[in-house]
Amino acid sequence: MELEDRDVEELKNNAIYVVFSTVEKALDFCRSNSLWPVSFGLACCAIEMMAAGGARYDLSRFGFEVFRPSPRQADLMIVAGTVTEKMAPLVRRLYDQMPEPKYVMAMGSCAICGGPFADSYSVVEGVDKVVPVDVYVPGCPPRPEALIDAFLKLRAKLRSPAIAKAKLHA
Amino acid sequence: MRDGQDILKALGRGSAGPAGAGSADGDGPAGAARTAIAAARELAVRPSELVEVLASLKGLGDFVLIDIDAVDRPEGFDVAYRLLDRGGEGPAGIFTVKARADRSDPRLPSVMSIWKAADVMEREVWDLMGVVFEGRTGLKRILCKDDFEGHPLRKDYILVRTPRFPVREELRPAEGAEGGQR
Amino acid sequence: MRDSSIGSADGAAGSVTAVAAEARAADPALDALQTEEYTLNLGPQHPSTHGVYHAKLRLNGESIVGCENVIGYLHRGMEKLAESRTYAQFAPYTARFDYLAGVLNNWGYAMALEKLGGIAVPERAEYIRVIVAELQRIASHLVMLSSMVIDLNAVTGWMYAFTAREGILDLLEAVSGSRMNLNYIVAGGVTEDLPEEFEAKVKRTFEDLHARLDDFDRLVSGNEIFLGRTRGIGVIESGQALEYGMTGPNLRASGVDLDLRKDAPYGIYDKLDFDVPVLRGGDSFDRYHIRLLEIHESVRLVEEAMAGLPQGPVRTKLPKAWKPAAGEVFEQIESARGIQGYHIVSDGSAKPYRMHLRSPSFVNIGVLPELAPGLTIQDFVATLASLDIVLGEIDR
Repeated sequence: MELEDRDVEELKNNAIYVVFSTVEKALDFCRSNSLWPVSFGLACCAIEMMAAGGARYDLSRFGFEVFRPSPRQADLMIVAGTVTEKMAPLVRRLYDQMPEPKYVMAMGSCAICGGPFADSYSVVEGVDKVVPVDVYVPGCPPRPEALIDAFLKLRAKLRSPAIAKAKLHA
Repeated sequence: MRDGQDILKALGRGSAGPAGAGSADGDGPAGAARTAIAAARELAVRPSELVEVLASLKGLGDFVLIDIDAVDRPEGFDVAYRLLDRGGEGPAGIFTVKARADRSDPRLPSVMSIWKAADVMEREVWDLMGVVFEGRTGLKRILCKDDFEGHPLRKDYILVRTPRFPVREELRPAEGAEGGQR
Repeated sequence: MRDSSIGSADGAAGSVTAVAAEARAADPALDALQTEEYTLNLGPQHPSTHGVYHAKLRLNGESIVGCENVIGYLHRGMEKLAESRTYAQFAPYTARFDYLAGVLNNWGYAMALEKLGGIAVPERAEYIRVIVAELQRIASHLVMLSSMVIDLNAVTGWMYAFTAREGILDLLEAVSGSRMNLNYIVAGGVTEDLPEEFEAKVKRTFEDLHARLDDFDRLVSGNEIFLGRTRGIGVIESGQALEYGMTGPNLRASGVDLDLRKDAPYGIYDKLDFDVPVLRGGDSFDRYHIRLLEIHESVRLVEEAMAGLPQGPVRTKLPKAWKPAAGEVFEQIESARGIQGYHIVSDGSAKPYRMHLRSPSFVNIGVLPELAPGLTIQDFVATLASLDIVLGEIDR
């Protein structure tokens, strides 16, 4: 049943708070407030990721503290650390095991581009050679606040995917 | 740098024969060896004497194997066995036993039977430098991938440019294109 | 799936494997029951492996019959990279070697370069080095304590110890600008002097630390479940530990008194008064407890060094593309995990000819294939946690 314009106006004027949306948007809103990362710390960045989950920086206030050991129960993979050639097939396998919709965050310089080890014989120059990445978090290691900022950017991306296509970032 | 034969002589073994040179205070071969060791922190041995020298040093009781590592020199691979000398007066120091392996066919006897710590250390030297340790089982790669080709820490190692891991579909070059991106 | 290349069986008497074997021998019907061994991959992605460590476990039910370490998932080729970096450029890499004990790695590297080049370090710098290194050691041990308890599912303990660590990281940040992966101790001294009011900050932090450690200790050390899961588990005899080249708190928990700060003192450790805790049991609980004791000793060292801090410069500056004389050096340092060694071969140019990093954790895990058979999976997790490994160090 479609609501007529004047009905909508009346609702607004009487300050009755009703939201009109689609199911997809509603689900995206819920997902964005409850991302479950898979615990996938590879190197030093993992420690700052753990610190972000600790009491001072507290990912829990955003709803992101539920780190799942199994990728099958997670929707976010934070690649925190250097991806080596030995580990690359496993990163891909874990990514494939995650159910849709899934997101990937490349945390730290090594995950973004190989970092200080980019010219090594065994390092993959960025995890985006192996899995598609949604958010890149620079730093070596990024501070927990930077990681939280990345989470918030991802949250904004989930809520309105068009943001990812915007050329300018504030 | 003292010769392995010196130490072996002092310990009453080796091709120089028994009856080690007695030390000044006359406490026999062990004391003589200790004096010899205290004098020089480094010892160069032939590969054939390596096991005997290290076993004798272990027999003295105060040595712990800390590290095995190799240096790729034009003359050959210089493999250093570093032992922590806990006995004796004064601070605990590092005593190094060095052996040189041929460049063309680097082989050394394994000392895994003397110190179990040598297991992982020798595997690392094999993996990164290509020195084969004989007389042991399980000499396989430990740090590089199992199907890695070459020994990366050698000076003549050439870095291979094609990706050796599964690259994402979207980034793979079109069929028939040359090589791949790294 | 059977993989007979994995390490040997032989449960110790009284272990689950031995009991199972006895039961089979006693009951023919049970013996006729063919059960297969099961190979379980613990890691490399696992919440309790402290990084990308992979253990191939051969299991008989839940008890381990064979264990094989598979490492190299974080092998970044640091030793090869060193050959294409100048000595100053390589210094930040050393912090990423054992990333929980960043400044301790820096110190070992700096010492090796100082020996190579005959560089003198000002006295004030030596005192500051002890202060910052011991603070880093406290932070590292707090990570070990918190990881160990969370592996045994005591999440509150993890939270307490990690929050205590934040206070220490604040101090490290005040000194160097970075919480982790510091590049503060360099050849010739330290990069900068201590900030103002540092002594007061340290005092406040230590008051907070003592309170939090007290809470943690009361929560964990006497906890029946924790004791049940760590007492008598993963016992390493002193002879066995020395055979495997183990060093650091793991060795001292097995009764061997070896600490380079006392036995081969570097810096100004010979002027400072501190004890080295040594425990006799060699089980996982002792390896946990010794780190708690070592934190207290480190606090003592920091306070002592702060009290005796002389005035003066803090750095002998070196040129950026410093060329040491050709030669070879091996320097070792008592890191949070054991003896860390730096072997540097110089050919007289600005870049090292060969750099080898002796890693304590790499050698410590060698004991696991012998230690694991007879343990159950959960005991293995507790033992692994008590060994305090860091994969950055193992794989380099």
